[in-house]
Amino acid sequence: MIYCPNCGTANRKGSRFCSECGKSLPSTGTRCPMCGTINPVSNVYCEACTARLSPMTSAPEENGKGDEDQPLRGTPSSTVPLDEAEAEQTARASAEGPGSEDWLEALRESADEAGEREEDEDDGQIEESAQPPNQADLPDWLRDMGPVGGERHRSSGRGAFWLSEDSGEETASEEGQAENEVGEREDSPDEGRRRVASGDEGALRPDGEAADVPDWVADLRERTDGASTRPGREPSAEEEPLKEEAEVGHSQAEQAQDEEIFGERPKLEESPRWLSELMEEPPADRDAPSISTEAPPADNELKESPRSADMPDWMQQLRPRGEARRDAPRDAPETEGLLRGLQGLIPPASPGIESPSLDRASSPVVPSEVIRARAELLQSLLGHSASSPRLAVGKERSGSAARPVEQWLVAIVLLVTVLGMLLFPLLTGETPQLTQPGGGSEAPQLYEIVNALDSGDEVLVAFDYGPPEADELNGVAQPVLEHLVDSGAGISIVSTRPDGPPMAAALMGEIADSSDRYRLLGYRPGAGTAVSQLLAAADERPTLLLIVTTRPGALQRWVEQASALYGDQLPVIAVGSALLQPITSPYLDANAGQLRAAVHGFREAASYEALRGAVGEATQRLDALAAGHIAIVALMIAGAVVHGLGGAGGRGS
Amino acid sequence: MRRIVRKWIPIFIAVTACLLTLGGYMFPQTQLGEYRDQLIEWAVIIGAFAFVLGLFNIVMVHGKRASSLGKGWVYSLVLLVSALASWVPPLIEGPSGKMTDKMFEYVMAPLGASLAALLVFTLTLAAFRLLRTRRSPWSLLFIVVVTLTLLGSTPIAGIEWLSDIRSWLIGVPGMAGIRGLLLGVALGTVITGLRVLLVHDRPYSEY
Repeated sequence: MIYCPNCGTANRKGSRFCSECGKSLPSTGTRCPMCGTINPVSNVYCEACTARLSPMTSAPEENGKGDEDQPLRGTPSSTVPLDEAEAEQTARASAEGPGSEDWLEALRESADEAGEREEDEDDGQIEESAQPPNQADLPDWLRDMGPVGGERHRSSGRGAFWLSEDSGEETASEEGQAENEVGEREDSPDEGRRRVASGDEGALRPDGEAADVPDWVADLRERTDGASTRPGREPSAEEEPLKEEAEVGHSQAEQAQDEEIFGERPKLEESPRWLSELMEEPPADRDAPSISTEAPPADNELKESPRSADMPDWMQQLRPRGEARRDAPRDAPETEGLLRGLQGLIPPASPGIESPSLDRASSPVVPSEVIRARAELLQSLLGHSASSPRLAVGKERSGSAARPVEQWLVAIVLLVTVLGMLLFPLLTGETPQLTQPGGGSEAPQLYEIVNALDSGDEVLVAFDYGPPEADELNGVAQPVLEHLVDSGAGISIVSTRPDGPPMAAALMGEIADSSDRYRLLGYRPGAGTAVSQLLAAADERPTLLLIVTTRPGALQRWVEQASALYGDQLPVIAVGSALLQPITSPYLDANAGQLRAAVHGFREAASYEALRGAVGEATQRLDALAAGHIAIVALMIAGAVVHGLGGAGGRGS
Repeated sequence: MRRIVRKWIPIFIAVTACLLTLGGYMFPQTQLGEYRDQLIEWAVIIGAFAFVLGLFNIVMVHGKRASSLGKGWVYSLVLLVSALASWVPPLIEGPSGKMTDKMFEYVMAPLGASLAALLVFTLTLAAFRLLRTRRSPWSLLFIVVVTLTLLGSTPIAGIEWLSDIRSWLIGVPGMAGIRGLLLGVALGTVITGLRVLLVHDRPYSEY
């Protein structure tokens, strides 16, 4: 439920306006900008049209940089590796410059010293771990497993039998080769880190002796290196360059790594198949316009792929794909503040997001035949729009001018007809005889029922009409109520409308010579509930129930409740307006028996008066009513002829 | 606990009242009949109290508008004065006093009759313009039926036979349509009652 902030009314969930005061209600969700659906606040996409509810906002602007320089949220930062040597040199130079904070400088020095100590300690730990452990310190279960750790690696010939059987000479030769490689690279510790970044498995080995490599690493290395390190196997033609490169010295290996990172024209035969295909086949849609944020790669850029032969497959999958990442601007060292001189603390901004789907969106739209036909139709309508509005306005003006004429025509005809019939007796002294009352109604049946009442019977009369209907219903009910009063039966008047008792009091005051002839029980609220309560609360069951109403709902309530409580034991009759006759007809059916008889309108009331031998209000008004009906029918036919024969009009034409 | 108070207790009261009233109609000669009458009496009292609440609501809304001189404050003032004028006499003389009768006879009845007369004029004008608005065979059929019914509802000399046609129109196609409506309303009422009885709809609760 949504409670209105203005009046406090509880409104249905999802309502936009208060049902009580009409004020706008606060929305309890996020409204979709595309379809208007109210979504929960936590939704990112619309439940109805899947449109995005929250915009892809960029990171807050910092240091005066624009949004285009800021990486979008949720996108990974650039994976371009940093030139660590250059960064370290720049950081040291900046730290030594004037204006540097003393505590920051001391912190850097202490950090450097700590790093050096940690390296020394690590070397010492490696050396310590290389020493054979004391046999007495080993538990029994471990001692039973044979030599462990560096002891086995120092002398692979004394290894466990299960390991020796599996590896054999290959393990020994491989370890020997690994020692050579490690020995070559001990001179440059940075090289190891670079090779880690470039994916060289050799860099995964710790900077220590080959004997420190655990056996599971050696086993894994044997499997991954495969035949390239296995003696006795002839390298294939594709592997030949790799073998040659493995024999190159330290400077050439480092240069190769730099070329991999910062680009050099690779050899075609060293590239993977997918890259070779790209290099051999020029892009087909090179000339197509593209809205991608990434610049189209040039031929030389395509050829600057790293040599995949130096990288394992899993490293190739992690390799940055976009050429733009390679060209991404490196982050400059901080120039001011406490972080001055440091580099790499804030990731460099990404130039954009690769969105291949945008390339498809840039393809030209080919309109279909239907769209083309509609466009031509719209163009033709726009071309002829200058004259059409004038015709429409002129037609509207003529229609608006005819409306008051029709209104005055209808009003004058009705007034002259009805007033003429009412004033004719006053002017001429004679009453026009347009009608002949009697026949064709339920009046005789109702007359017989009322005529059968005795003075000891009790009649319950339901007055369920108000002042708007009083002008007709007073004239219709008057002959029946007069008959009831003349019969001497007790009359109890109730109503389920607040304005019913005053109407009953006014009418019965005209009919009965004394108020002792009837009892006015007042009004009961509650509609159907009140009817049931009125019928059930009666001291004794009434002999007859008379319903005086003009509303179908009231008639239904009284008839149905009386039938439910008393069934056939309580006869029910009704007096209503002519409008009520179609509603009472199902209850008047002989098979239903819920309504014994009914009188509708002036026509049947005049018949009732004729049965009683009196000329009442219904008979006097019947001629004026007939004249009014004739006038209405004449106007309707005239309108049908005028509008039917003249001009086009209407939605049905 | 809050859920029990706000949801399950109203459900229990509503279902119990429904079953008692329904049982009172099925077995009116038993104790259930008395329970039914008592519950209906309570409903009548609550319905009467709703009128009192409505009166206070009208007085508060229009009183606030009249005191703040908001938009349409004159009409609000007239409404408050009229409500006060029609409220005081019944309190003094009772619901059938002279002042109340004269108010109904000379104010409400003429105004109501005038509105009903305006309805006749509006309907006649609409019938006059019917074919200009919608020109179709159904419009012609409507005009023919209205013509026969109006002329047949008054025993005009010379065309009394139209009364038989009118009686047939009301007794056969008219009754068929009305019965269809009544059956539809009855089915809808039964379904609505069952939904409330089976706690599928809870119009008495917000939960």
